[in-house]
Parts: sequence; structure tokens; C-alpha cells
Amino acid sequence: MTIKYFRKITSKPQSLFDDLKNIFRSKFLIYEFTKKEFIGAYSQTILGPSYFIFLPLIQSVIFNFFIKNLNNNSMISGVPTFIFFLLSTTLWNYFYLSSIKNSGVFLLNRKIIIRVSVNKLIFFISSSLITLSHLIINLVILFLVIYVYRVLYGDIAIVYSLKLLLIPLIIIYILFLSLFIGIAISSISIKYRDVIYGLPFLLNMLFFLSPILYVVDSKSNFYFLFFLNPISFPLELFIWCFLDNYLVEPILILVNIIIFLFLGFFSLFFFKKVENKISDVI
Amino acid sequence: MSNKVIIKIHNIYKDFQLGTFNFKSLLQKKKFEKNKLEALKNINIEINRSDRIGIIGKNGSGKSTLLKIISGVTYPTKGNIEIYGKVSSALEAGTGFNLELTGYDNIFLNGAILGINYHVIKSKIDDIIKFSELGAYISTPVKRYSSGMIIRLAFAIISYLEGDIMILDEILSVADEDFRIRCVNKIINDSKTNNRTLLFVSHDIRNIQELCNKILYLKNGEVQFYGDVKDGIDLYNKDITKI
Repeated sequence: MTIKYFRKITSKPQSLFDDLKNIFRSKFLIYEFTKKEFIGAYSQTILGPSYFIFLPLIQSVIFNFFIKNLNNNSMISGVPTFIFFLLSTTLWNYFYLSSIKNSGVFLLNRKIIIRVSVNKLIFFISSSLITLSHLIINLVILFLVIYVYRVLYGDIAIVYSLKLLLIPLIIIYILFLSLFIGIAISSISIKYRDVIYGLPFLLNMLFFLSPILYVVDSKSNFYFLFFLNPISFPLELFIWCFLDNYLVEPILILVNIIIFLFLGFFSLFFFKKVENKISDVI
Repeated sequence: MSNKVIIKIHNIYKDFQLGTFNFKSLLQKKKFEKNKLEALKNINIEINRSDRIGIIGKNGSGKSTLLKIISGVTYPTKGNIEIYGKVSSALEAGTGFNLELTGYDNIFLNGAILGINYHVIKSKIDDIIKFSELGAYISTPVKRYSSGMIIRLAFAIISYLEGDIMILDEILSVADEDFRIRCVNKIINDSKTNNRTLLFVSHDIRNIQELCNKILYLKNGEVQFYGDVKDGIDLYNKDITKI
């Protein structure tokens, strides 16, 4: 008789490679988790997911109103402020919501974790898929708004070029960035819940340190802060994709990616360290 | 290694951390980490294919912990377990039920969580619904079910679990009598026809006698007895009446 299934349970966690194999085999579970979250979140609402979908639009209107009145400037790098804010907040909201959602998955799925043997990385995948679906709808709205703006106000310096092909790469970068943040935060949260409360606060601070409401000025005294902020280069690059004469510092990209890799290494290392204790202490 | 042995448990130890994690525990980390409960101590057993094992013992004797380790929910502190087969475990009825989803959707969700694959659920969905006796209510969100209906749905799914090793943790003691007997009969018949190995925790000795052909008696995290049903139950009863 041949043995199809063999499993050896020891005190050590399995390798990341085994995790990936496991995830690949659990497509049905991922699908069911994603479906559950989607239906669970929007059942008995009238507007459904439209709150998340229109969030960037509403934010841009508000930012536009205040910033315009504050410094009487209706253009940033040749683009109307409203469009500029819409571009940056679309991407920022994806990063923000995705990080918050990813960092709460262990506590949210506590009941399942303590009762069923399930690969913990699967929770991150289904939560990433949900936020990714929001982003895709947001991007469609972004293009629609740009189109409408153009019809109403004529030329607005937005250029569609081959640079747009970089957008999927930027999205993948942010997906992994928020995944790493989520993995690190939720791994700590099994013991210390402080991080769950601290993260939204930290991200709100980061909002003002990111090129969302303004353009990075490389002569500024605080320029080094953008180097430390791993979300600043994808935001810059995203806007660069749409504009003709926008510059992104290559050094910024390099430093950001180094910090990104460091974050990834740290979060996975930490996750593997606590993985086997999750169901005991959560 | 003979083909007869399906689970081989080697020197299993399991510690649980006591106390809460807070500022004080962080300051006195060394002292805090010493405050541990030894839930399992030096467990060494071999389980043969198509054995039906009833696990008995008082509260806190480590029954559930052992099943959790075999299911892969929690990990041993020391030692290892070799498992030569697919484990299907139901440590609790209705794990991960989502109240907003309909009964029908919950069958798929719960099935996926328990590790049944899509095609199996799809082909058995009608049987599961029939077994649960929920026919007309199956497309209603589970939050409007009575607690008895939720339990019936959960048990119906568990009754259709497939695997070489079935692990059931005290779950059959809550359903109503009539339904309980149906579940027990189905599980035992299926395990007999498919040569399944069954690991079963219960405080209800009657259940054990119905279901099992071997007894594992745990006491304070150690194996007190492993073998014949009658001898095991006699020993257990003697220990209980002593107190």
C-alpha cells in the first residue's frame, strides 16, 4: 500500500517553501474565505462597498477645497489639485486600508485559528484580494473622472503613455508592502494588542510625510524623511506615470526598495518565529 | 515501519504559558516564562490503521491538547508525531460559520475550513442538506436559525468528513438524542466500511462503548492506560469513585 499523505509534526515551523505549496493547494479555502469576507462585510447595507469605492473621490473633494483656499493654488506640477489628490489618495487609500486589514487578520479569525489546522498566510491572501478588488474599482473611477474632467475643462496635462504599464508593478509593490506590515503587526498582536491601536495613528502620521498633498522638494531640510518612508516612491512613481514633466529621484527608489526588502525579511522572520505559538497565545 | 501503524507519537511534551501578557510580563520576561503548565508529559503511543480509539480522562488531563497536536492546530514543545494518512478533524462543531451567510454557503465555507475539497462537497451537498433536515431553510442566513438548527447543520457537515483519520473532540455530546444516534451511526458505519481510524474524546462512557475498540486513558498529561475498552473503563471508573 502506498502512502499518499505523510505529515511529521514537530516543534519547528515548516519552511516558507512548504507554506507556498500549501497555499497553492488551498485555492478553494482562499476562495471561500474571500467570499465570506465580501458577503459578510456588505450584507444588509444599501450602498454596499461603494463607501470604499468613493472614498478617494470624497477625500479629494475635501482636500481640494481646503488646500485651494489655504494657498490659492489650483495647480500642482501643472495638474489641477483635484486630479492630483485623486491620483495620490487612490493609491494611498489602498495602502492604508490594506495595511489595516492585514494587521487584524489573526484576531479576526481567532476562532478558526484555535480550532482548525490552517496555514496562517492564507488569511493574508484573502484579505489582500478584497482590498485589491477595491483598488481596481477605484482605478476605473479614476480614469472615468479624468475623462470627465477633460471633457469639461479641456487639456489637463495628464498624458497616457507607455509609462502606464508600470502601474501593475507599483500595485504589486504596495500589495507586498502592506502584506509585510500586516504580517509583522499581526504577529506581534497575538501577544501585545498595542500595535493594533498604534498602527492607524502611525499611518495617519505617515500620510503627512508622504507626497500626497504636495510634491517632494529635494532641496527641503526634511527630504531625508522621504527616504525612510517606503510608500513615498510608489506614490511619486504613480504620479510620474500620468505626467509628462514629473521627476522622481532614482536614489529615492533605491533606498525605498532597500527598506522594503528589510521590512519583508523582518516580518517573515518574525512570523516564522511566532507561527507555532499563535494558536496557543492568541 | 509496518503498514499497520498510522500514527506514531514520540515523546510528546506540551507546555502552556500561564498568565497575561502585559507590561509587567514584559519587564519580568524570564520569571514570566517560567510560569508554565505541563499539559502533556512524555506521551508515547502507536495507533494502528482502522482502530477506533476513545480518549478518556478528567478535565485538564490533556485529551484535547493531544487531539489538537495530532490535528496540527497547535504544536508540541518537544517530541514528534508521524502521521501516515489524511487527518480530518472536527474539534468543534461549526467552526468558522459565518452568521451572515446562508446555510448553503456555510456548508461550502465550513467544508473548506475542515479540508474537504470542492468537488466532494458539490457532489454531496444534497445528502448533507437532507441529513441536516434543514431542507426549506437552507437558503436563509444562519443568523436566523435556532441554535438546534445550527448544530444540526454543523453535524451534518462533520458526518460527511472524509479522511484516513477522523478526530472528534467531545462534539457529539450536545445534539439532541435522536440526531446524536444518527450521527454516531453514520460516523461509525463510514469508518468501518472505509477502514478509517477514529480518535474520539468523550466524557460519556456510553458513547465510548458504542464507538470504540480501544481506550486511551490520560491522567495529568500522562498515559495511564492504553488498550482494551473494558479494562480501560473499569480503571477509569475505579479512579473516579476513589474521589
